[in-house]
Amino acid sequence: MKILIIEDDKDIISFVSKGLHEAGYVVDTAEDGDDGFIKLATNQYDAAIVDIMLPSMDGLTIIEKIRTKNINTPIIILSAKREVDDRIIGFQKGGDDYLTKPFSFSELLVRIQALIRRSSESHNITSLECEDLSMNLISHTVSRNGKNIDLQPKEFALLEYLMRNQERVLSKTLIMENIWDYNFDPQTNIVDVVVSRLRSKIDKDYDKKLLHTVRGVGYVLKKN
Amino acid sequence: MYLKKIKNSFKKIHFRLALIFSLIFILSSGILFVFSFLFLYNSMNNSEEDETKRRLLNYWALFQSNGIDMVIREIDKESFLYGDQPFFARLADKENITLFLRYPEAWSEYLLEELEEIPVKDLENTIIIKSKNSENELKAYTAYLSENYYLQIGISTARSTHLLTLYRRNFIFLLLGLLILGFGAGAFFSSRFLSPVRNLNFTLKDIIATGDFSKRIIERGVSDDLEEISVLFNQMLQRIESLIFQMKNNLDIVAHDLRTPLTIFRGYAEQAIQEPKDLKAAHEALSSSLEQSEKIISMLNTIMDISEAESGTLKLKKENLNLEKLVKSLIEMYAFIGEERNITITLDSVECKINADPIRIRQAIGNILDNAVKYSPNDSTIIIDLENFENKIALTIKDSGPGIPEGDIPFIWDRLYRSPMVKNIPGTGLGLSLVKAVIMAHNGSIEIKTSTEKGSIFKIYFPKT
Repeated sequence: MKILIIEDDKDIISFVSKGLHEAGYVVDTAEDGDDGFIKLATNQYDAAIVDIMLPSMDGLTIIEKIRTKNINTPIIILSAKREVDDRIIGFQKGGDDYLTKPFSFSELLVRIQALIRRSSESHNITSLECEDLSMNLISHTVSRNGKNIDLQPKEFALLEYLMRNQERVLSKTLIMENIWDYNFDPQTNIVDVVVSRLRSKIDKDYDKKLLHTVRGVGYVLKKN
Repeated sequence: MYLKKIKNSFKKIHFRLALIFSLIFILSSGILFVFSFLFLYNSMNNSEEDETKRRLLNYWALFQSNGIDMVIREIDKESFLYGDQPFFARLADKENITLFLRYPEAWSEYLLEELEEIPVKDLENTIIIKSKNSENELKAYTAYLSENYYLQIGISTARSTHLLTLYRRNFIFLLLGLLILGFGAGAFFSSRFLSPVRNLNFTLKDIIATGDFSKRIIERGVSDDLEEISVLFNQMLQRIESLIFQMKNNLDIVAHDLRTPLTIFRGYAEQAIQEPKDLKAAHEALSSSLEQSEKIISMLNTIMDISEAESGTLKLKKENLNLEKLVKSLIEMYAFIGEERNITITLDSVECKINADPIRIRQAIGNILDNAVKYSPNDSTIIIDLENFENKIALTIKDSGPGIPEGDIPFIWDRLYRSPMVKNIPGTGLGLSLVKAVIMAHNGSIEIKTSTEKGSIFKIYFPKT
């Protein structure tokens, strides 16, 4: 898996490429728009991270030019602006994603993985498993250690999202986006509420805890 | 330098206006002059010709009845009588030899002998004799009296030439006078009428030079287009001034608001670095600083939202929004949180549509609902009403929480204000400020009724589109 980072800030390049490296990716970097465009146009990448404000050619132009060349590499846009540009929304609809700075690395990672999966999804999964917890996506049932667990729709959706992203820390923003389709900071503790309810249903009666809180970052479903 | 001054004055509108009007004036006066001059010239010519021809006719009649001697006698008499309208008379035979010639003494400047060389039989021809030493001319006409006699009468054009010259000169002087007067008055009045433009110019230059946006253009208190421009410019300056003030103010507030969480953030990070051996404590401190950084970003975003909404620079993506649907989806979300503590949310609604930004409205109403759920006691109900009035839409959210102490009410919309009562409930103190700013940005209003026994009632009004 090879990822291209087009970003003019050396510090950001450094920590993002270090993190991606540790997650098992091969990382290529470009520090200005022209260089980034050439690399993206001539090499095969599994995903690209593109900053908007770049010297010599801005990120949105790169994406526009790349798309007219029919190169469909999934791209995550990095933006320092809070206001979501209409064009970014446009790109987002085309299967891409965006993140505003400052961003958390774990969120970036989850989004990249989601993009790569989306672009290479080949087989339909009918069931998900984590240790002795299993989910049947067709009958919409969940059981742990053979014992059925009754979940409300939102709890089910959250668990599915966690199980599809096992071992990955999911931020509240990501959860809000995926479960409630809510695209901004809601300033509410609803995620905590759902997580704690889900936890009481799947973890409370078992010694082996699966759903963990990573303080300041988010939640993760993982085997110990 | 003088040249530069003239060149500069060409750039002034009032000068150019005066100049244009003067040019138009000169052109039309010139045309008037040419026409009147031609008319005068023609009519003088004609009257002279008529006079002379009548005289010729008289003599012809005299000749027919009384013979040539009578004609000569009459000419002598008349030339003496009408000395002020002088003429010459010449009698010639068919060979054009002068038989008789009578002319005023002053006319010696004319070469009357030339007449002998001009064929006399061409009766239609007007004979012109030039003066030796002036531009004056003699104009003569010939009459056929008999086989042997041709009579020629001529008069001088001196009088008409003189008159026309006088007319021309006077006209030019008059024109010059009028022109100077016209240009002066034109320049004066146009400069007076255009004084607002100069004021505008002056004030704007001043503002650009000093950066002082408190300066205003002097308004004259009359109502015309130029005054309107001044008034509009002043309004724009007012808006710019208040925006600049708010931006400066916002920057101060943001800097101030973020200092506290940043200090805490720094504190945790320092703890983490000071406890390298105690991995668990270091991990704990790092988690806290992450949480704090999350809080800082969230606060920064909210503060910027409030600032932008208050200063009118918040970008609203307005659309025809189904408020009932939006409220229902929010209730679904908060009812979920409420379930924990057996708080139910009821809705009594009708379909309502407003022109608003769905994300912002969801944020604002969500904040109020969040508060309502947070402060409601267990096993209670939150009552929501959505009403469609004639000219507005009202959303009422009623909880049975502890209410807000009267002393706190004036401050609840202020940024970062948190009642001492709720110090141990998490919150940033930004929620209600954001609510108010967003509602105001949509031209709506919000009011609160609260009592410590019955809880709080928030009422939001949206204008109807």
